[in-house]
Amino acid sequence: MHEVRTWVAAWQKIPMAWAGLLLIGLMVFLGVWAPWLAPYDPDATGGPPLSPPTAQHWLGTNALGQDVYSQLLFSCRTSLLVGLSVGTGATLLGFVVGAAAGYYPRVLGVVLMRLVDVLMTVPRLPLIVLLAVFLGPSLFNVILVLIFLSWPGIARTIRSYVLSLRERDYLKFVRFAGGGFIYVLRRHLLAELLPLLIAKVVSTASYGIAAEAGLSFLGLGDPTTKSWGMMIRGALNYPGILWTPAWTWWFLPPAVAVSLAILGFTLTGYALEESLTSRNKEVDHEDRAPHFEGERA
Amino acid sequence: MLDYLARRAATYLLVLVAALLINFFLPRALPGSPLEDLSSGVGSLAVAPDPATLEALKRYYGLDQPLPRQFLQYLQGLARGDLGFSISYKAPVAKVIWQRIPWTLLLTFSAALLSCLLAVILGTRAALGRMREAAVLLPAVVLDSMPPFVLGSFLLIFLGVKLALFPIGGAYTAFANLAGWEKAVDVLRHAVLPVLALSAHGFFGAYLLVRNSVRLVKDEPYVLLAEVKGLPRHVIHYRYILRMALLPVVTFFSLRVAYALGGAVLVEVLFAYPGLGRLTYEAVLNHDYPLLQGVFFVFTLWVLAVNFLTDLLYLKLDPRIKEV
Repeated sequence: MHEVRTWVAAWQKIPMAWAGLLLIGLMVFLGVWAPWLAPYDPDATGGPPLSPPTAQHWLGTNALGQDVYSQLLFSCRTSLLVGLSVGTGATLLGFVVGAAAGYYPRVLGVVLMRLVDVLMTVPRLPLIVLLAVFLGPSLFNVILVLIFLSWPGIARTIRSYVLSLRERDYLKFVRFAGGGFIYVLRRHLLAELLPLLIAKVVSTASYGIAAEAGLSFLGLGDPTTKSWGMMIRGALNYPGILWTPAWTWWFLPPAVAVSLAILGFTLTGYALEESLTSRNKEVDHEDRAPHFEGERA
Repeated sequence: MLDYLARRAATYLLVLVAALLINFFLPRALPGSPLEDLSSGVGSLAVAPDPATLEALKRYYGLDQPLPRQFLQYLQGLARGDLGFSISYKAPVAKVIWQRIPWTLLLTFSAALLSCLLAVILGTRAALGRMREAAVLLPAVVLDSMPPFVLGSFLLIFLGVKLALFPIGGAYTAFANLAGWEKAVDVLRHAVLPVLALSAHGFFGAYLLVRNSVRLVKDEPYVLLAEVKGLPRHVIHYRYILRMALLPVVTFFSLRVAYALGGAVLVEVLFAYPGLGRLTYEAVLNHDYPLLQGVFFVFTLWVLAVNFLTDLLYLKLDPRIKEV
């Protein structure tokens, strides 16, 4: 608990973290309340086509007369869902696999790390494109594919931490007392690595949001769910849009929104990782001071 | 050292096998079939070929064979350098891919070079305390947060459409029949916007890498010794610190070159740039199995080759690995 507190304290000193948290908070608010905040059904085509922003349509309408502001809110919901699911899913999977590989380094660890090496070497985006086409366009499949391709890097990091953690005296003692892998994973590794895991959730979420936007931009996303990437695709595919003012209310809002969303998660993730390294420095420093290893347990 | 190389080679071999399996089985599991395309036409002109013709076509392309047999034929073809015949381009896959490779190489090499060069200059200055870091950090984070295709759209709108400084699509001016110097300038002008969009994305990672690496190296005892010896500052900076600090950048650069190939898909689609990325996209849209297989095979070979070259280069640059 003490460690978590110093970690939070270190983190608060970084101004970027506040900007990042603010952006994430805004995104969560807009995403969660989208159905109540949106003045129109995002699919309804009732409005005048390509109308500039008016009192009725705050951000104007697209070529089909759909309300851009409402679409923006529902897309925020989608991005938030994809980002958090991919971040959490990939981190959990990477944590369990990495911990297993670090805990059983001889056979299981070697096999798992070989798998990680292979998955990390295969060119990522082409494989995502292929898998997205293969599995069919649904949000669930997009999330699955992105989790499948983002866990290996996390597993590798976790493994190196667990390799050193398992040599700590208190964990040797727990093992000697009969604590199995699942017990150690839940009771000790999770607590030790929680700050690192949170940082990984946040940075993987920003990757998930960017990848989903890219897939929708290629037309490989879920056509039944609103998404910033799909809005950008629709706007840029409209003939001649860049020579009319329409791009300022049709293209600009989703482009700025997706950039801000990724920025929010990137800033927070960057701040988290910086504070982790500063925390580790303190721990290293403590380690050099003469004390019994066993004290920490 | 040989042990290290052998281990790496074993991984690459596994990747190759995995890629071959994915390459072959995944496109075959895709919904739709290349022959379905034949029975759809434009409006009232739709023509449905009779079943006998479809059967003959299936036989001609070997699509009636059992899967293991098709796989064997695929491997035999690969061994001969034959990647199959593209259904949508009506040309050998190897030839279609070969025409696209130079364009993607131009984009990825220029983008990786640009972002690494800037990162080395700014990262070194920041680590040695000769520059306020905040001036770089925030713009770099913001640019890094924009997906390349979003940044690309902004570049396209402002530099391409509003200011009309650069062409907004394609790799060269069609039907212009330019030659020599004029043609080179034309090609470069077309590459500017996609390269900018791609390089902004890699910059932040490279910058952090250089900065942290220089910070680590500059406190090494051998740097202190050089200072005590009274060597001039630029000699210490460039010959002593930078030389060691650049080792990770070599890996970073080659990783960018290797993987930007895939990352270029979105940017190439945005700028209608005739590279491998756009070819992948077209192949997926057209359900062109042989072309998809071919593109993925080339992608994987490329990644593996760059990785292996990096391993070799690293051995040369950092003799300490040899002792491991």
